[in-house]
Amino acid sequence: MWRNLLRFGVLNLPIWLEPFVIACCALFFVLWAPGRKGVMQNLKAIKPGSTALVNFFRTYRVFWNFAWTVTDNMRFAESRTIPDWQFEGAEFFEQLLALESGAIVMTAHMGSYDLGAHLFSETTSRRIVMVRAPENDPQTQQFEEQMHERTRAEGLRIDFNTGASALALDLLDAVREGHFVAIQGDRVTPGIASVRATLFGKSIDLPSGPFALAMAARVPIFPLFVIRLGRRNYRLLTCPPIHVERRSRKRDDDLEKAVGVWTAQLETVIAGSWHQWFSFEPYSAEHAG
Amino acid sequence: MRVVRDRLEARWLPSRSHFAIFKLLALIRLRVATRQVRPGVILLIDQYQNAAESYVLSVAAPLAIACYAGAFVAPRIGALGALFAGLSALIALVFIALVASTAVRMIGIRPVNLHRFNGGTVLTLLALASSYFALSELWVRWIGRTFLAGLGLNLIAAVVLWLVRDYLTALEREYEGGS
Repeated sequence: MWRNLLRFGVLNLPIWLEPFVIACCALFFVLWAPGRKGVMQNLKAIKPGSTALVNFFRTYRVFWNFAWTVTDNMRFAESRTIPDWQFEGAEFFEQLLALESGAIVMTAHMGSYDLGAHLFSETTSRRIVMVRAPENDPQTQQFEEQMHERTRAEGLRIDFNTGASALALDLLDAVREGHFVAIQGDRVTPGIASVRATLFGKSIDLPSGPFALAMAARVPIFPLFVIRLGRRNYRLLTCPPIHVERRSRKRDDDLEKAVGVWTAQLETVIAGSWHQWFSFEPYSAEHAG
Repeated sequence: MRVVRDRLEARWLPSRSHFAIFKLLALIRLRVATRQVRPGVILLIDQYQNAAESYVLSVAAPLAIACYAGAFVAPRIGALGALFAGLSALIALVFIALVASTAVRMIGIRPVNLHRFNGGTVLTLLALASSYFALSELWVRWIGRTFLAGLGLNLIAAVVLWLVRDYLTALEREYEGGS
């Protein structure tokens, strides 16, 4: 329902009133107790030693950024209005575009990854397969699918990750054919194969699929983050590639090394942009308990 | 979709603002800015890209409405009540704008941008309210007068921009043409 309200607001409300409306919406989000508690618990791990009161205001900032991000996303869907962009790590981005093989683009629930995917699809002629976790609510899922249908870009395909092996073969084929596969690697959907890692000193389950895929297809993983800098202003940060190679007899050991590199990069980015990490559930079972 | 690449100072292009006064301020800022080549920067040329304009108006308009509502009801229901009255007044204004745009559509006219039509309606209603309060004896007369002064300045800025319209067009072509 709130997505329909958002769409209505984007189409009808004066644009110069946007910050006021978003400030009110973020306030409304803060009233959502499970989400608020989830963010506050994550912040406790990201910023150890911080007080609950300070984290409460930080949580408002997370929701404020989330409200801006979904609004920018909706505005793009309805009127094709893109934000300003800044590229960081351009050398790695160029390296990715220059690849002859396929690649895996690993991202997180930060900033507007949908806008990032569309920008990405505009800068390359290569096909991008974007894998997303399905929404829990069927109506929300239907709305998301309809929205993606409206914003469909040339060369961009969005698949919803609904089962452990449902997409694996398709994705392997896509990568081997030279396409890019974009996956969010900071959260694991129930039923999806996972690997245990450490983030901010706490254990976290991350999807093992992207790493196994990179190993099987012998392609690199490029960590790529979309970070909101301000009103209608985003940064596309590309990090050095992660190579997942089979070097020992134990496949899991090789995967763990790559997961360790990814987790370190994720930790650095989240530490600098904690206000953009849209993880509304405790990321670790340790502090969830 | 019009964009400027690799030129950071292009963020001050007047066409990235909606209201004449902000366009003029942006032009002045652009004139004093030095050339800043920043590879990897893509700036959209769209009249709603000016963040300062958006924040100023987004604070000023609800604040003015809250003050008008407060001046009426605060003596009776206190400051907190006035705050809610202000918020209600803002919602009412937006609601009136939405009704107006719906009515316009029902008689067969389709505004190109609904948010623009509704924005115009809200500002017109606000200008009418400001005119009323500017002539009153209430303390909010200063807010009403400030709002009307802002409108007057915007009109003067529009005239100035009209006089330099050829220069503005050339400036934008230069930036859109590349670095």
